Amino acid sequence: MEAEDGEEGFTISLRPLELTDADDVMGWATDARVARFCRWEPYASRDDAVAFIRDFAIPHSWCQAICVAGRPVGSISVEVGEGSSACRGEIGYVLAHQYWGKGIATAAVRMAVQQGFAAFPALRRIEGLVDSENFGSQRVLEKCGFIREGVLRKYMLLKGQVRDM
Amino acid sequence: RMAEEEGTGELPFSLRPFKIEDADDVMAWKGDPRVAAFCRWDAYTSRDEAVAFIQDFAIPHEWCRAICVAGRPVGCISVTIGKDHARCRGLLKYELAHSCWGKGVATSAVRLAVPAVFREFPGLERVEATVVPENKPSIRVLEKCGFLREGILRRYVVGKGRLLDLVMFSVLSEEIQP
Repeated sequence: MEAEDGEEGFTISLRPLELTDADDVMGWATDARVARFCRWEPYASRDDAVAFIRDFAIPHSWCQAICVAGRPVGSISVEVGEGSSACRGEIGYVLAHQYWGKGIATAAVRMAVQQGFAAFPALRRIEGLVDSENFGSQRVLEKCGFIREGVLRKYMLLKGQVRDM
Repeated sequence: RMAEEEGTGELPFSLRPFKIEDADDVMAWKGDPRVAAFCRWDAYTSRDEAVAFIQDFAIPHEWCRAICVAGRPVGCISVTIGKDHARCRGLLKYELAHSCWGKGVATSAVRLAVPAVFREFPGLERVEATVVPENKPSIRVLEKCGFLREGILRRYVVGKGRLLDLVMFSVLSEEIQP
């Protein structure tokens, strides 16, 4: 388990998610502000959180809970491609609203990038696809040294709308 | 399915679906290392590979056409539509026999294909194409067809054992005359 200190003296750490984290997952996944730029709708029931942990997080090749003082307040994953795309991974992260603006996502991304490159020897590139209006997330990636390569226009369908990323 | 036609100076030019009988014509470019050089596939060494390309890729594909000059296939152009969240975008690919390079054939093919695919797939809003930075002729084709260069995707994919940067180009449905 790796840890970093956030701007306000939080200890931020990453660890794999467990089914017992379902209530903590509900703490961010029911929030429409958190789900706004995500492909999923806010969770309506604890079953959604259990399904996320069981069907996405646990089988995932690299998915971790973002923990503050040992408690999950978000999640982060690196999705690595196969075959000719094994050199490339996509980072995704989500964080409870009350923890925004404190450097926590930045710390989590920094750790995830370091751990992701270490865990996948063929990995050469980690990319983040961010909605063109998600300025907070763009700033997180820039602070972590990501280069803005361009805007992919009309790239993805998000909740029925075609978005620039 | 329709065959679209357009003239390229003196050469009658058209797009049409592939047929199994096209295998020998397909070998003329698929077997050419000069064509394969900028692509991620290795030049074909047997006619069986051309048959497999037609049977397993071209015929079942949602939008794939033979580029024909004077009625004979000299290349291939396809648009692969994304799934789920990506169904608003399609990936354009094209390849052309070396003898037809520098004659405006690829440009004509792309100019026909893009509006055709926007017409056929109403949910499609973006057609994109990726090229390696060294492939200047292909970059010129896309620019002539109104594609916008959006940026370079660094170390994006492995091709023939090498880590490749890809230049991303796109054109939007609203930018194309129907």
